[in-house]
Amino acid sequence: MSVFQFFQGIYTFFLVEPQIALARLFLIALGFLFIWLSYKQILEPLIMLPLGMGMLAVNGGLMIMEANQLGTLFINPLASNIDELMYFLQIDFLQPIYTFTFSNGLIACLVFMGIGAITDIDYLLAKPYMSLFLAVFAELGTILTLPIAIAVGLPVNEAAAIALVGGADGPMVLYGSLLMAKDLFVPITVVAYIYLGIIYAGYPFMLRVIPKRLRGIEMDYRSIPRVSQGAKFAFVVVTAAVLCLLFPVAAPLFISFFLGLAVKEAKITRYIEFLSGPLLYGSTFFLGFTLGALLGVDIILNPKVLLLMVLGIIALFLSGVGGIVGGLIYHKISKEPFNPLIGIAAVSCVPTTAKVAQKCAFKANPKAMILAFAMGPNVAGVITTAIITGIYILGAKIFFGG
Amino acid sequence: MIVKSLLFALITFGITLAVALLVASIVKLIGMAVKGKQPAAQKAGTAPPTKS
Repeated sequence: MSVFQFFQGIYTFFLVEPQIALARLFLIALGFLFIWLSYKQILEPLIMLPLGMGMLAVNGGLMIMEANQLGTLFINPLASNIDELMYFLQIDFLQPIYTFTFSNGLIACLVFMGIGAITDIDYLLAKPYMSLFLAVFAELGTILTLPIAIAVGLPVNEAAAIALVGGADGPMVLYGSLLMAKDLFVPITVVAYIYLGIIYAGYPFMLRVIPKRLRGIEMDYRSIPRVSQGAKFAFVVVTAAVLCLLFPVAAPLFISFFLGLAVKEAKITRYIEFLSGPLLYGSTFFLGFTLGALLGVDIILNPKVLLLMVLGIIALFLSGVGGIVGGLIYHKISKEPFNPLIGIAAVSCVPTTAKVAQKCAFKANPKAMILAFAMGPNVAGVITTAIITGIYILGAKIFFGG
Repeated sequence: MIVKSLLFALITFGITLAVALLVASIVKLIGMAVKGKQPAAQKAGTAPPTKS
């Protein structure tokens, strides 16, 4: 008997193969890195701090369980039959969160309700054609990454799940990958959240391809028509009904987002406070922490993870290119002065990409204020990404069979 | 398979564009309906008169 047996987190390093022990160490180090980058506000702390904490805890907390099997007291995502599930629900402390909110996509929907309750749709409604035109262009990465992923050997369901990273919408990627590629939903979602964290630093470099004189174009706020409260509320209700009718498979996502919007536009203060505060931040907290606790060694040793990381960055790059091209085309066809930087805001990372557009415009010309205009395509991007999620979940099955 | 996936990408683009146009049209229709309703309601005395 060794004294190390009392400290099973350390003892278990010597019970497994060297590459697994090294992978554990790597993931613990990565957890520390995420926590540090969150602390420095380089990565989004709301999601990456709990994620990093979960990672180092689950990879450090490996212990000897019943029948000399190695395991943790966090989650067993592979538990499937009822007896096994009931056992782990009583043993693993995050199992109830995973079983009741992850495996059915509820956590993504809760986040969406919160996002809906804080989203301003004034600018989408004021300029609907411009907003949705740009949003479709900014889905270039979501659309083109699917054939690219299939070309490099991924099956259709996994290719569609990783392609959703191009939509730059974390909860959407989580929901889509849970339904299409359950085995890979953890690495895909983590890849998405990490990349979304670095968009703020990466997209400004891409935007330099637009000439400075175009980046600095000033836009007239007085050209934005005012939208009445009644029109906004009617739009929310009618659009929710139409989209649920068209894409029942993505209906939970649509109704969650539009429910949040409806509560906001109906000015139900108590619900707005609940959805935009405790619900949004509670869900985001447990989303990050549970994802981190799911990032065990089996994930990092999966040979597909590297491929997913490459495809994820391709998806976001192509979406950025699509946004820029859309912005330049709209600049050409618009009768009013139009700053093409707004195109990047259609990559639906609310509100990060709109802020990126404003930041770059301000750098080129301190008088160029385009944030309000950028919010329209930004919100439209959420809608188009949800549409594509609906098409991928069901359409891929119908089109490719199986 | 690659040709088929490119075709699917094209179909996805087409459907997304069509639905996006539908959503934009809903906005326009509702905008028009609300605008058309306002003067009628004011005429009937059920809506408060605007300052202008």
